[in-house]
Amino acid sequence: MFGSVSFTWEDLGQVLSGSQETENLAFILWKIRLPKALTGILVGAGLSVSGLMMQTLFRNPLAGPYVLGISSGASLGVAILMMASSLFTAGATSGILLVGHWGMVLAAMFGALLVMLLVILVSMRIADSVSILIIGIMFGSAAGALVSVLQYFSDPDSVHSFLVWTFGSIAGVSWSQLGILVPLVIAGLFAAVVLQKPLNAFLLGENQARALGVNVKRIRLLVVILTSLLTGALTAFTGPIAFVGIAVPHLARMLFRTSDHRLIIPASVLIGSLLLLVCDILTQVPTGGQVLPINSVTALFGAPVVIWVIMSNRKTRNAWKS
Amino acid sequence: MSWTAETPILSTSQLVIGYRIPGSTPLVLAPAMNLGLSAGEVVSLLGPNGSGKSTLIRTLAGLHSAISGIVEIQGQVVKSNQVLQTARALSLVLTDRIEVQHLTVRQLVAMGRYPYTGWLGRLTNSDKVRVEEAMGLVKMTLLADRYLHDLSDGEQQRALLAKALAQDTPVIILDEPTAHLDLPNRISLMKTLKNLARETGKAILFSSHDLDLAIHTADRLWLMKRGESIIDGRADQFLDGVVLNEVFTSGLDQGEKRLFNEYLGRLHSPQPE
Repeated sequence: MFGSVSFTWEDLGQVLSGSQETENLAFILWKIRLPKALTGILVGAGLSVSGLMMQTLFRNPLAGPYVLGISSGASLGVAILMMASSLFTAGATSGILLVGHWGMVLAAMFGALLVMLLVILVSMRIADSVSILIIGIMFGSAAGALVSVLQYFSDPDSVHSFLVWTFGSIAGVSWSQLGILVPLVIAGLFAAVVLQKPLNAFLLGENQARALGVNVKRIRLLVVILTSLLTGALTAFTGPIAFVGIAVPHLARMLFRTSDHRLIIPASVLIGSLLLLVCDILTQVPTGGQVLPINSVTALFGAPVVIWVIMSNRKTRNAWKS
Repeated sequence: MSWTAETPILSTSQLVIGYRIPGSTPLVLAPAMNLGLSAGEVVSLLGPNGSGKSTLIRTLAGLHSAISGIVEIQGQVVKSNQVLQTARALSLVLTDRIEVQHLTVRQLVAMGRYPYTGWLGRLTNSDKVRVEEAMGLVKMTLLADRYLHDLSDGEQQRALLAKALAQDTPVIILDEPTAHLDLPNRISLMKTLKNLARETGKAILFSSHDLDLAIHTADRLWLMKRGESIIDGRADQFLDGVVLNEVFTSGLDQGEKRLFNEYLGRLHSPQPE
């Protein structure tokens, strides 16, 4: 099969039957390949559904899981951790080696949580969704600017390790970390399914939704919390992974020719997971130990998809004006 | 042109509409209103831009809170935090164009059943019957499987009306339903509203800028002018144009007033039906 270490179907059979001869292959399968595939599925499903909910909530085709500035918050957390720690060790070791994977996860989670709380506080006070969208983008820009300032004053090694983190990676998530991520993403997806009825009403606009009996403020707050949790947690473990959240809901709507969330939520889960797995296989294309960053692959794949959606569907351009 | 003034389905008592401004006195649009909408009647809400038509509609529908006073539908007070209860008593057709990809007319009309379905939004057989009935009433059955974004403005407005009918409420309120329509579509929509009120016994209120069509369609008119009491009267009482002149021409110069009167002069011409 694919990858830097080749599996044959017989190898796979032997590993699954617990044969002693294939101990190394078993290690690769159970400790590397399977967690990675599972992470890919979680990331694809979680980011796609988050993007779908944001697009519906803001009635904006360009909305995605990161519009609320959550990934920038996560980046800020990681940047502070890496670059600040390298200052104290005088650049002897690069930050990433010093703080380890859990440290980065915690830093990213803390940064995402910070922006998320700000956005939630704002959305409890502000009446219209567009303002929330703009404020989220502003939070993101501010966090991004702080990251730039940090980079400017940091040594090249730390900047390099930070850049590597921003490439995104679904590898290296351990089973114990998956023990947190799996229930979280499943709970998030379940909550999205529970919200499908009001989300459908949101398609008609906030006023129409309210006239149909939707408690607009409460649903909006729930969606913001839900998206923040999903993207915050996923970003913390894998780094920001671009385009999936924007492109997949469009793909799902195009393929299934409906906007009904009862169909589009499961469709986005399916397409998102598949897409991430395919993109991960594509990262293995350069042989000889080199692996492409997954963020480049999703973006290289995602950009043409978004362009194709716009070109093949002239009405999309006017479709969200109210 | 006869309507029975029985107990109104929707009524307001001492209703003051406007906007609360934090740390300041509220912006009041009109003195207290005591209005009533009865079963089977069509009322048209007219007034210049900025007179408060949309605010009144939003207040009646519970989308906006009143400065003071109450709105009652069938004896139940409309509260802005009781959206579901209101959605079962009053349906609303708004001007915002609905531009969702891949939403069929039937799916849109089925959303009218929102206040009655469970958390999955699954339609029961009786829900489905109501959806088909609603589309039949506005002659949309043949277009049921068409996508909303493929419809003309007139057809889209009828689809929205069908959604309101599927919501199965005693009161339907439409905010400028004829705004984007050409003349034939405006006339046909007005006729549909009148027939619906007669056939289904619903109380229908619509705001409009088409004075002539409104006068010939509605049983009664509500005339609004910024800061003044709302004028409530039978539609045929306004045919002489005197009151309309007072309400609409205050900001106009002599030439514009003459044009407005020429327009009003046509009100006596035969009804568009």
